[in-house]
Amino acid sequence: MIKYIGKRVLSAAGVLLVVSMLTFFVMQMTPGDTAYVMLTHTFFGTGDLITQEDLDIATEMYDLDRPLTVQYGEWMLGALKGDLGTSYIYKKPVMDLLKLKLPYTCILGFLAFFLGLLLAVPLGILTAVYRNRFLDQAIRIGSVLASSVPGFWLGLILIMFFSVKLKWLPVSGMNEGLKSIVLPCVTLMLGMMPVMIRVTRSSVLDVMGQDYMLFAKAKGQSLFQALLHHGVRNLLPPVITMASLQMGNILGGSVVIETVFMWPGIGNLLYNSIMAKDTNMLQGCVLTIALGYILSMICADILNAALNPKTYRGGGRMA
Amino acid sequence: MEEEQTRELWRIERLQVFFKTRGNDIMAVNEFSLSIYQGERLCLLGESGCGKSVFGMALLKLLPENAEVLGKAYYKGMETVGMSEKTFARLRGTEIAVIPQGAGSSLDPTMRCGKQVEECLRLHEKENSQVCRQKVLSLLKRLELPRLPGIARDYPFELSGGMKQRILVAAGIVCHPQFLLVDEPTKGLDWGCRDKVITLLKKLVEDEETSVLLITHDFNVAKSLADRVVVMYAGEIVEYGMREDVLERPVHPYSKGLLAALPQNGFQAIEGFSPPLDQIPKGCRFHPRCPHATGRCAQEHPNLTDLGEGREVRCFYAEG
Repeated sequence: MIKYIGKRVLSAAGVLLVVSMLTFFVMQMTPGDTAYVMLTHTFFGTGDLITQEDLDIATEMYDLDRPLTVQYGEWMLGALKGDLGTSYIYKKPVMDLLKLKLPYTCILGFLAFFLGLLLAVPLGILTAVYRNRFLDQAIRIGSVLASSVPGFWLGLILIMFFSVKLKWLPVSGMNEGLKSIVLPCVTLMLGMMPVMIRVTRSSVLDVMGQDYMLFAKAKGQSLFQALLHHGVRNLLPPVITMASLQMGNILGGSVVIETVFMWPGIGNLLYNSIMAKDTNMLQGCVLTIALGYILSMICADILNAALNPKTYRGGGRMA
Repeated sequence: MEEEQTRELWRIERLQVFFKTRGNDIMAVNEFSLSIYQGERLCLLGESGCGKSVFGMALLKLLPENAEVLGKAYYKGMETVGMSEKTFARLRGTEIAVIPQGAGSSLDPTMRCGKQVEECLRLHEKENSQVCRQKVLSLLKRLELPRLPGIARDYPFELSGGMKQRILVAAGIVCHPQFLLVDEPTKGLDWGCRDKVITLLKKLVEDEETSVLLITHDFNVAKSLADRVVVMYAGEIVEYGMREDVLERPVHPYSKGLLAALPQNGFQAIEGFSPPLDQIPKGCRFHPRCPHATGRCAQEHPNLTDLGEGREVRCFYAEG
């Protein structure tokens, strides 16, 4: 088990390395001189007034004139020591900014993730048990609707309805405590729930068709008891795997949702850093999201391994 | 007559099973009437697809949703076909139990074997876990499972096919049911395991005086376990009677054919194949394959004829 986890951690490091290289070099390929974009973004609306001297200062300040490989190498060396460089636009260490903003993304993401699971898994079980009845059909139609509209649009519609028209909830930001988290959270949940409901439903249906469930019924158990005793452990693996992917999606999707709702998390940070060609900041954000993805997948693998007796009983043993 | 009534465990009257499909309804079991007596071991013999498992599952009310069961079945005088799921569930496990087919798939791969046997006890007899565990262990011992008590803590994938089958036997019988449905207990087992499972099963049901309905296509299993044998063909009973009568002196051409097809009797297979259940031939269902068929067989559907001594045959030309 420890060997297994060790392997996963090593491969995670490899993935992070590749992600950082891709982010760095792709960012350099985007149009626009880094110093120029940075300055116009920092001093908004001053595009015409920027002189060559300003550009030189900016280039000098962030070593932008050195070869890309050297720039990347230096960043990498720093990163290994826990220093992700300085943000061009915020003029602060990237690490500090992440530490400041990440909690907000985590609060929103975890809340949406766990509330979504708490709703989606029981609903998936219900739709499987009462398949092809009214509840199943209603949820199926609802799922198709919810998953076929883009998150940002859904967010805007929710704002229009609940904030502008009904005035129940704040439009954006997070100044009103719990009230302000409702809409972004609901938007993220609606994005992940349709997938989770469907995966749970098909997994439950699969398990319900198994012989051991019939045998459980023959022993005198009700469907509910049989699902509890024999169903859960067998139907969870696909649900867990899909949930881990959704966790990643929530982190990545937060860029859009946080921008729509002006939520002060790393999504917002990421959006601004792309607009300003703030390479260091961008690296920090992308790596954080990638790390979140990897961690959630490792968690899923470990959970699944723990659920399957074959992994810890070491293969088959014959008499 | 009065005594006859009390000894009767099941009385099944004209039981029919349909499967609703998109095209038309398929009749899997046709007008099945039979009594099963207390303490007897009845064997339902027939080839794959003749409806024998469907009949068994119909008795236990475990058929899928698209199945429709008509007719009556009385368990100790209680009608069960129309009985609610809730009421019937109380009989399952304690009174009426099953040893399902498919040792590999009928055990939950994520639960320890001992616990799967224990489950039934925990559900029906409100005893503490220590007592339950002891009962399970002694039962596993009677089934001659090796590595006790450690084997109770093993998962199904750690056991061999024969061992898994014995775990299933234990799980079926642990609550001392009155009636036990045993569905293909030797499916997928090699000869050695087969004999062992059957011998152990026989000893167990004799000790417990359990009534057994054994479903099999294996002549030897029927021979070693059954008191009475029912031969099924294409969804209906073609012959039944005492074991020696049916297995050694069969009357129906189909039973005769089955006997002749055994290796020790010369491997002479019956011509043709049994019909799919949606293409049942008119008249006698066996007539297209019957060597003695006449014009009457193709036109008229024969009823069961009583040959005396509890023996009935579905053939116009049967003589005891």
